[in-house]
Amino acid sequence: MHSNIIDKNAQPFPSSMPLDNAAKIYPAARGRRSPSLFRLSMELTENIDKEVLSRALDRTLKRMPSFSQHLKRGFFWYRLEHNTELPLIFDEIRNPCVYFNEKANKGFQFRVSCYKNRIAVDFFHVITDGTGGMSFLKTLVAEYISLKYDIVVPRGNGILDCTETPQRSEYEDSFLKYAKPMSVSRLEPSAYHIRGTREQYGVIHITTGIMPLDEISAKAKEYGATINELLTAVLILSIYNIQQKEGLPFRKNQPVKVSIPINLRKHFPSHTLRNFTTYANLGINPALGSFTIEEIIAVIRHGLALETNKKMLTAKFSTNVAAEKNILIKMAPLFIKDPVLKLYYIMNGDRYNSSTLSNLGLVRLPEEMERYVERVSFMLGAGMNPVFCACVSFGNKLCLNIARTIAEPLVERQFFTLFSAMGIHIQLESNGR
Amino acid sequence: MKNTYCSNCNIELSHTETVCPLCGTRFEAESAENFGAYPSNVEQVPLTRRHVALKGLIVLLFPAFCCFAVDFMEHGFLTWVLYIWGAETCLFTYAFLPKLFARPKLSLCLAADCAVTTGYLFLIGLIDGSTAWVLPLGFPITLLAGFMAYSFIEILRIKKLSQLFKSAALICTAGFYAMAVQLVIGVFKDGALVVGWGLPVLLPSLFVSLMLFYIESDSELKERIRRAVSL
Repeated sequence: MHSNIIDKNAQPFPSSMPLDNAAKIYPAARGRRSPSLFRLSMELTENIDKEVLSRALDRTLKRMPSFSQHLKRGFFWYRLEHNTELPLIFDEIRNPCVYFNEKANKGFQFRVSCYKNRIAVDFFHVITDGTGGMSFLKTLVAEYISLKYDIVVPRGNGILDCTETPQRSEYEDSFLKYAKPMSVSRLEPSAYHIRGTREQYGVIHITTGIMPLDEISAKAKEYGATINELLTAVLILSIYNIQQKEGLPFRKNQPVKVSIPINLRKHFPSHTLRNFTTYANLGINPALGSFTIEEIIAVIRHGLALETNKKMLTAKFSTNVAAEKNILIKMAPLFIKDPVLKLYYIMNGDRYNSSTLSNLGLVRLPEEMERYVERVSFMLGAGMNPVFCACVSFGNKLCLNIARTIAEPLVERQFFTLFSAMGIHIQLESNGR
Repeated sequence: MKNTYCSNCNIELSHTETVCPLCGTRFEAESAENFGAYPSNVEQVPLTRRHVALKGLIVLLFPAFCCFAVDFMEHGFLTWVLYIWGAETCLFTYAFLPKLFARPKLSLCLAADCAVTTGYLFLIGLIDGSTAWVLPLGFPITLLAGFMAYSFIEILRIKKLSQLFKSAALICTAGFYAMAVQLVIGVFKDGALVVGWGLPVLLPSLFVSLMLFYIESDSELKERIRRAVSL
């Protein structure tokens, strides 16, 4: 068994560790409007056996202890404390990513649930980002399949070997490691924000569009773009169309921008499972005139090229690291920092973007595992903005989730009908009744 | 399992769907067993209003304590810090006290606001050496402000009223409030009902309200103005 294997070179996992640089704002910013949660799920070919899943979870958490954490208040900052208990497996709910009952979840910062053939994990952003979360889900499902079907699933490509001990590089704060003494201004023009009838707390509408990856890829090639650029451009065009239908002249000229998370592991040699992501707010300025999809794609492509070079990325997260190291911020007690950070998040959190589109890309699984997996899905919980989009591809399926906390399906209608008009076959699913 | 097709949106829906998520068109569910891509149970989000009140109290206590320390070190007894404490008590009552209750009644909240404001005015009078003006002047004006706030909120809450109609009602109420304040001041200062500056405030607000009511009733005129403003 894995617990009997002792790596003499491995360092013991710390009982307590500080939050990483990006995670510092999440406990303060967390609220009923912005729970800072995201969900990753996999649908298998058969219904889930809870007992086997619980065993798989136990093994996964021993390999990935940076997920097995309690969030505790310190005097100056929040910190993570290692939790040696085994989390419960919950029945899935209709409104994911809206609330996290920490007490019922034994203080864990993630929640595993299942429904029919689906295993879903809701993560609080304080412990990990999309890439780290995907590695956790892949390892969990690989363990589940190994136990359930008594087969050997090859490890690698994000699937960790549960017979190995955790590596220090997996729970390091890569922001601190790669930050340099440089900074860049975070100021930019405020973006247009979608308006609608706000739903009550706890209500979230999820619309899932399942599209054939080959069709999307061919369409993207037709425009000379990547899939991510095409999806972002269509989302911007959808929001732009909504904006132009509004009667208010001053709102018609506000920039329409979409926040695109950027995985820093692709630019720095980091293996961390904690947060290591930054973002770029890219979009169009309707005051300059109307935009075609080709023009929007060009804006996104060039914007991404400017934003995703190593120097700019380093400057971006180094600015946040410098703020964390500021002596005044460091020495301020948490009960002062908490409301100040909350206020900062309310005022600036989603001020510079109209929505978010997070694309985890194509998930690759070993053949032994692939035959048991039908679909992979990724979902973002709503924040200050009412509409959030997330997508992930597996096999020939691109699964795009749009989560919203307003009653009107404005973005979904525009977005999916635009794709449908492009000749892309879409199948929709939702949590509506 | 056969998927549904929404001809309205020109999009295929999964067999689990009973409603088109884009246009709301309803479909027959194929079978109860396969009903829904998501389960029916919903996670309830508990009310955290009390936490907000508690955090508000903590935030207010910090400057209260700092001001107390500075005032006490400077004078050896409490002087101006009482103003700060009074203001903070008012702030807590206005912003955070309703958070302590799950369903606070507007009338009771406003009554508490009026009471604490009058108390603060009384404190100011006490520090300045004269409380004679508090009951005949401060209290009625506070009460009127409470009534105005109540009317404003009630008007804004009526969903059936159009924005223009609401604006007209609000301007009209504000005009009457200004008139009432002037009458109270007149009674306090001169012992008689003096119209004074109240009338020049009331009449224009009545005029603007009537104009807005008229625009609201004439849809063609409203549309013409809307287009002109948009241009």
